[in-house]
Amino acid sequence: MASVEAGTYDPRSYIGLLRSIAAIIFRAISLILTVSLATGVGVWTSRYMIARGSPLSADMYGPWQHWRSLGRESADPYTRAHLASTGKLRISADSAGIFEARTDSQGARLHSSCNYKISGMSLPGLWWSIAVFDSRGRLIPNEAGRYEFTADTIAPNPNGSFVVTLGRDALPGNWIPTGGAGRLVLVFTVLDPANGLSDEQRAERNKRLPIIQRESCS
Amino acid sequence: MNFLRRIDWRLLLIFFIVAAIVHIIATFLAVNDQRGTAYARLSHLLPHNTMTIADPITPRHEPLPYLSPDARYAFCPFDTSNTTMRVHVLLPDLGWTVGVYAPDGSSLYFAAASADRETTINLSIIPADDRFLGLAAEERQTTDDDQTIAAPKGFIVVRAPDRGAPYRAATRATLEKASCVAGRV
Repeated sequence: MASVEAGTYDPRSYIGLLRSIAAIIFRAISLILTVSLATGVGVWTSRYMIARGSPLSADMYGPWQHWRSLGRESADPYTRAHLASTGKLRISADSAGIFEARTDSQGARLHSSCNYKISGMSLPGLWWSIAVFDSRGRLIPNEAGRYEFTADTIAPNPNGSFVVTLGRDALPGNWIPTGGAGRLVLVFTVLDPANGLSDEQRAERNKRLPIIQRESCS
Repeated sequence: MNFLRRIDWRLLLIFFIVAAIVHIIATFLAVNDQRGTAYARLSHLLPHNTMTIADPITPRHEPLPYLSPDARYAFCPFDTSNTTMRVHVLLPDLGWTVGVYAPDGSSLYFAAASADRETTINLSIIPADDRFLGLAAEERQTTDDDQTIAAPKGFIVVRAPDRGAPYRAATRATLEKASCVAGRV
């Protein structure tokens, strides 16, 4: 005949068991939260570095950002993902300098509620253009039908330098209307000459990028 | 010191390792996601293996984001799976360019016009398999010699700078001379 031996009740071991269970649950929750947070951080940093660039893939020249291996077959994954995800069509960094600015030269975000003066130095022998877009890469509709200036269409100063103005209301000179667009993105493109540029010439070109000054805001 | 003692270093290590792995996976997924590329967008809009002059870039006609309105464009999405392509482009003046791009947007070939002379570009695009005998992936050329590049798919972009209203008819006339024609393998 089997006999059942009644166990003795020990409150200390019962509390210890509960503590152990609570510690396991706490560790599991901590682990889940850590993995979730890490996943979010991993995705966010990837998206940010693809969309906005980082020192790993892009250089900054004042407010101008330049993806250094854009369009090259040897481009880093961030640059390749940037092209793939944005749908941009860009001339290779081997053949042109393409610079994007989202801020003025003082670091303030470019916005259509402000007027800007963009002063550029002469770039002899190089074809260039400067165009303005909204933050989604769309042109800004305006009655003047004016969205960009190029080396061919700009009215330069006598010494070859140029000034472009951005603003909601008509301004004298080379004015591009920006009314109602919100945040702005400037794209400055400089084509290399047919026989290419040396690294020193590229460095020199990159020193001569336009300065973006905020004039007034409304 | 109490603060450091309370940190769970194992969790911190797990955080950094998981974040790094997810970061790398997300980046490579984005590299391989070709749905939003310029090629994917243009190949839905334009006929293949034919040079098409796009309408001037305006707010009502923007086939691609950040596409600068500083030029008129001619596009030719191509597919050399059953054919080769012959490309002929005239680059009359500074600012004119022709580029051949892979579907991911990387440049396979690029040529820019010289300021002092007209440049004629003749290209052959052949399938990227053993029928191809080899050529550097990216060549900058301003000579009139024929060039051959290997690419299974991609698109050709001829870019004619906008020099203002008086020149637009002449620019279009020159752009119309650009061609991409399918040939035989």
